[in-house]
Amino acid sequence: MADAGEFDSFYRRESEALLVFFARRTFDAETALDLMAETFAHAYLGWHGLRGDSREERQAWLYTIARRRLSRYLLRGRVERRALRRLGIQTPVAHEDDLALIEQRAGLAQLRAALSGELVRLSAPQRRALDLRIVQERSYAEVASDLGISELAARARVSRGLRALGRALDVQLATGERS
Amino acid sequence: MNERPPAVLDALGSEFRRLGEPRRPRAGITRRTLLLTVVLALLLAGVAAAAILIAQGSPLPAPNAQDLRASGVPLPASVHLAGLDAPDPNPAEPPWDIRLSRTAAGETCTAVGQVLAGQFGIVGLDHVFRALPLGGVDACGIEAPDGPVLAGARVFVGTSSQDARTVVNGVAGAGARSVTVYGPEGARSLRLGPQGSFITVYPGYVEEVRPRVVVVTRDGASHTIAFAQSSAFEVADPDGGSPWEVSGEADLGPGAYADEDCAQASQQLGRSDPSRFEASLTPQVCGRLGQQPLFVSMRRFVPSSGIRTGFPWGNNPARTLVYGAAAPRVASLSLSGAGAPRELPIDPHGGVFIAVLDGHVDPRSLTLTARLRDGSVLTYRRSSGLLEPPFTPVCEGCAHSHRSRLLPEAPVPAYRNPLPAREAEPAPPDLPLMRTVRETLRVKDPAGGPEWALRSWQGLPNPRADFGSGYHPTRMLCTQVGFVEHGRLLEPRADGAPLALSAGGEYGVGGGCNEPRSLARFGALAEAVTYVNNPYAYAPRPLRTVVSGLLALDATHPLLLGAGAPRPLALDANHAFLAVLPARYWDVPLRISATVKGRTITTRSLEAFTGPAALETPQARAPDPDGGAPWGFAAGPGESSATGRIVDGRLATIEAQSGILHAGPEGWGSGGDGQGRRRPEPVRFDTQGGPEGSPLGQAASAPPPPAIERRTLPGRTIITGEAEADVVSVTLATPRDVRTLRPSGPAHVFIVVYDGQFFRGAITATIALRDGRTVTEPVPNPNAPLGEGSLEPPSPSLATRLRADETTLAGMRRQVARAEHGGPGTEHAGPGPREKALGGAPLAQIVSGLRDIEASVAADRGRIAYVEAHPGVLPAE
Repeated sequence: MADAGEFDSFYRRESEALLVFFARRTFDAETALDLMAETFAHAYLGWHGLRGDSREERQAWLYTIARRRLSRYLLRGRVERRALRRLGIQTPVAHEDDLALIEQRAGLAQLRAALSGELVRLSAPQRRALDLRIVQERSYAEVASDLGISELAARARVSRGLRALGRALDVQLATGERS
Repeated sequence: MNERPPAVLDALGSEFRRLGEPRRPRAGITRRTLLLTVVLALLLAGVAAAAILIAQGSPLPAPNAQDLRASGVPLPASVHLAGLDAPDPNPAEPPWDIRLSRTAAGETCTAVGQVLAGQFGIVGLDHVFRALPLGGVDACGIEAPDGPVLAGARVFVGTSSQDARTVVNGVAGAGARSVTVYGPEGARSLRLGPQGSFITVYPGYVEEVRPRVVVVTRDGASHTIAFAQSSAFEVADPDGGSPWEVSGEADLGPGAYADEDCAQASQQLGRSDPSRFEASLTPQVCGRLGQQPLFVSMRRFVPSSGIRTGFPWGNNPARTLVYGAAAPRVASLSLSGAGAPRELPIDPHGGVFIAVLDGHVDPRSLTLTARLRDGSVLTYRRSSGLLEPPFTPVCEGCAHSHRSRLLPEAPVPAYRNPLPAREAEPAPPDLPLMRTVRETLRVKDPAGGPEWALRSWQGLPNPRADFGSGYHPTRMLCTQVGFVEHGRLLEPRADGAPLALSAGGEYGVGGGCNEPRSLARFGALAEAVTYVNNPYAYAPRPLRTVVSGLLALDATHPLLLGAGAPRPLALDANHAFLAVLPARYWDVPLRISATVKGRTITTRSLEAFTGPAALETPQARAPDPDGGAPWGFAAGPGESSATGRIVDGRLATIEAQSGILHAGPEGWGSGGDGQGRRRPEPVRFDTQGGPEGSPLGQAASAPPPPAIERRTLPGRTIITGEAEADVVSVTLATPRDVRTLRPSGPAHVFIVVYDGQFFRGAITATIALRDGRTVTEPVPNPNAPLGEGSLEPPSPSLATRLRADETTLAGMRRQVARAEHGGPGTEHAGPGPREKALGGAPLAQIVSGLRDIEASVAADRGRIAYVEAHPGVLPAE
């Protein structure tokens, strides 16, 4: 079982890596930040039930939560913030410099280049959405405007496109749910 | 690197700190101090960013149901994952889990794999995830109501030793309270899943991890299962190769002293040394421990040491060995002169000891110090107290006299490195006469590939070649066969680029040299080689059979028989011939006929199975771990048996590297360990297999595609069994897993095939009989350290050996007496009854054997008498 007094150290050790993990799978630094925050919120709430004392075991536990958060985002097109709301945590707004740093650490430029060649595998609506959002790096509002849909729908289309693309592009995904 | 993390992370961290720490765990739960480590963010980011991107591949094909009859077929409706999600040592890799299922017979089946996107499978060495099919990879066994019975350590290869994985797993049963696994880092308390299932993952191979599982049941009983442990007296290799062991025993051979013991060092088999063909052999050393406290050999062995001594070192790295045996009056041994002084443990059984040092160490710089129990100290700076090797006649006609001469010190060879592999190969027998090279025989490929050709030439004997004593060829005729591409002659390779053939280089498959006089003796020498489309396929399809050879120089009109109407063969200037036929010829033997001095000669069958008919078709089957052609086992008359791949319903041999198919089994069984028991064991086991690659056991250089997909180990371990009629089932516990097999067919046999070799650990069988009893038998493991479940039966005690020898002696004396003096009615019977009394053997042979047994009995008695008269002087057995 995890001891009290360790969560802060755990967060400081794992947070950046987890942020990069999400950024590479969403191609969006802001979404990655939200997912990372929600993941740690879940970890905070479930901390007393953590089994395993080794670093590897705790990492695996954290990433299991992370994969579930990611799968929900890809299915629903939005980041659920239940745990954050329950804890009363407001995700800080990231400065542009921070967003750029996250993108750099995650190597998103290279990934985007690789992605653009794989877009042909997708349906036309998904392809267009991903091309606007990830390859051209337009905001969701611009994507929605271009496609003539709501911003919420634009986010959903991007996330579903990512999921479809993931299977073809060797991006590791996990729905996290087993039957 | 010292880059700042994004500031927003600190801001979010402050939010969590504002909440305070999460609530404390419940009382009574053990706390541990968390080692505070500041991990470089970039390092972790690098791990995440460089995380291998895993592709989703097609599911691996399911095994054929007919290959699973002996092992049980898991019922699809019963399949479920334990949900244990054991983390991989690399957090970027998917977690591991156990898949549980049941057979119709109620056995529990387990398989281990990784879980990705809800699917159960394996991430191959190519970073592609493939779902694992039901059956084949599963081990099905009988689960006991209490205590663990299904436990194993499954190994998955990696690109390096650290990337390999040892997955310790099992089903401890519903009655299990806890499972703890002890490995390199200490204890791991495992979470239990359904039916007490457990799993944990280590980096490295099982011989490095050597895990030990302790299961505690609800009644407090503890059950320990240890994997890859060895009771051999062993020491580590200085360069990380397989461990070395030393064995010792009393010398009971003719001419041995009553107080004489011997010791021999050998290197165990391991992943870097998978075959005994290439293993180094060291001489057995003997000495009299009644006369001296110890005997010791201190020698440097270098590549090519010991040629023609019976103990060749081979092309293996140099080592300096110190080994021998010490009497019980030696309290301790220490070795100095190579780094810090080290204590050498003494094995209480046989008194043997060993130190293995890097070959750069000069044995003359070493000092062995023996501290005796009486307080005295002896030092040794060279080999000491060694007698001449056993069975060395001291004088003409006195082979059984005691040897009195001590062995002289062997010279210290200069250190040298092993030769590069190519240079270490034996020198080719011939030096080609280039003006005689011909490449005029060309045949179209019936499989639609490039044209095939034969290159022939004449050669002179290579002075560097070793032809053995008494054989001095004067001239040779040589051939090579391959397909032609861009003007080059190439030999196909299934696992990579084709091999370029050139005169004076490798002869290749179907090639080689012969002397004209050999050709004259046989008329023709030929070989038929069948190539398949895919040697890794479940049902490899023969593509072509290439027939090539040489005809005697005075022979004419060669014909190929057995492939339809007799086919005339064209000869080139060196009297070589070539034919390429479609597919494969199982039933009709291919032969070559020719006319020699007006007479027709015909060769033996080429590539036909020549064993008993009963051994041609399998009676039991098992899937291959890589999904290739299944394995089969057949038992025949006289306790003969055969094992091989099943192709077209017959036992065959597949050489995967070259894509060649041979008729007939890969291995033959001899029927038990020859101990001649009066009452047969319920099951006669045999264990075969070894490394893949050449027939000489050299390991293949790169994993084949199926092994890349499944991360299976190279080589195979094949266990077969012939069971008595009252055997219901056999549960095999191996270093890999526990599984239950059911003998089948009229011969009541079974076969099971594992990937890899069990370099450590024993194999045991629990046999269930029809009357409800169970019997436990050891199963031979030829790759384990010698004496530990290996094919060598354990040495009997002196007393047991003496009783057996005396019984044999009495029987032989009666036999000789009957033959020499006859019995009632045999006075005028002539040689008939006498030969019958001797079992058909000449009397002189029997008498010679009698003298040998008398000498053995004398040696046994002498040793026992010495031990009784001098208690505590000699090491215990």
